[in-house]
Amino acid sequence: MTKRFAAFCAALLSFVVFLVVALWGAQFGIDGSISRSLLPGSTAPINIRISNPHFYPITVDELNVRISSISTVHKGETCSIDNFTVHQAKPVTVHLAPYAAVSLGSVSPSSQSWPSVHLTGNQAKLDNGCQGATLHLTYTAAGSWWSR
Amino acid sequence: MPGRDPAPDLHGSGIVVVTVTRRLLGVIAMVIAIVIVIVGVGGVAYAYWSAGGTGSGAGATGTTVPLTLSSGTPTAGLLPGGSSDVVLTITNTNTSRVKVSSLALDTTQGTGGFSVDAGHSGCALTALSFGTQTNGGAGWTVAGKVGAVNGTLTATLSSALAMSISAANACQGATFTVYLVAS
Repeated sequence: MTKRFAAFCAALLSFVVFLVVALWGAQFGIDGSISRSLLPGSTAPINIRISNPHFYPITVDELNVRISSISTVHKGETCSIDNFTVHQAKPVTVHLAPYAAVSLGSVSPSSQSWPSVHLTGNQAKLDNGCQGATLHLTYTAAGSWWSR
Repeated sequence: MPGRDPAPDLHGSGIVVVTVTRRLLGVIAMVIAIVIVIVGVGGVAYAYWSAGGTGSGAGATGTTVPLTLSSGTPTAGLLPGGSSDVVLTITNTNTSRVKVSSLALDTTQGTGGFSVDAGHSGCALTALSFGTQTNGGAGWTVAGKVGAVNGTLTATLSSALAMSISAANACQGATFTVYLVAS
């Protein structure tokens, strides 16, 4: 009976682990930075990399980029997020093998399909404090993984 | 009694085990039922589970190389109590356009921002004044460098330089240079 009970506990624990992974565990990583410095009127793409830390494959889509904050170097001057425009990536589905990482560059070689950030060239609108500023970006994406 | 569990005998472990086993069977049945539901859905197609990802990155904006301003030159002869336009050339070595919001006297150069030719050193430069220019608030936009050719802009600052009515006779025929700074 003790062995049966132990076997049952093991099975139950496995099932709970399965549920936890299914409901909360399927998180994946996203990173990447703007490829070059932005000058007024210029656009820079972001070759985002998505990594799968799990033992099962995942599929990722609905990638979203936003500017979360801007740090300026010129004291007393500001740089509003309104000076920038974020162009989201063209719809893309990325399939990730277990423990694999994939960059958009390997899925869509043309950087025109990647997300990008544009610095306005409108001199009347552009804040002088945007010179030498650092943009902090936040990435989110949705995806799915499957099991039989 | 038939159909009912034997009363647990707290002193007899065998009967207690029977009770636990029945409870376990109930739990197992429930777990199996849940699994069947999940696997049943997956049996029709793959069972998809949502996944989410977050991350962060960074970017930077460039900085501009300072513009170069030529010395300002009055376009007409100054007379005591009069004023003159000042012309200067702004050079941009950056590949992007640069906006100049204002042009002001650079008091760190010359004598309070002015100098006079060597033959008129007796001319007191305090007789000169320069008003900060903004082009009517619009500023000036200097084109960026294209290839090897720098962007340039010639700005004419209307009536920007004035001479006091108390200017000394020693200032007659003098040539002045006006040092400006852009911001």
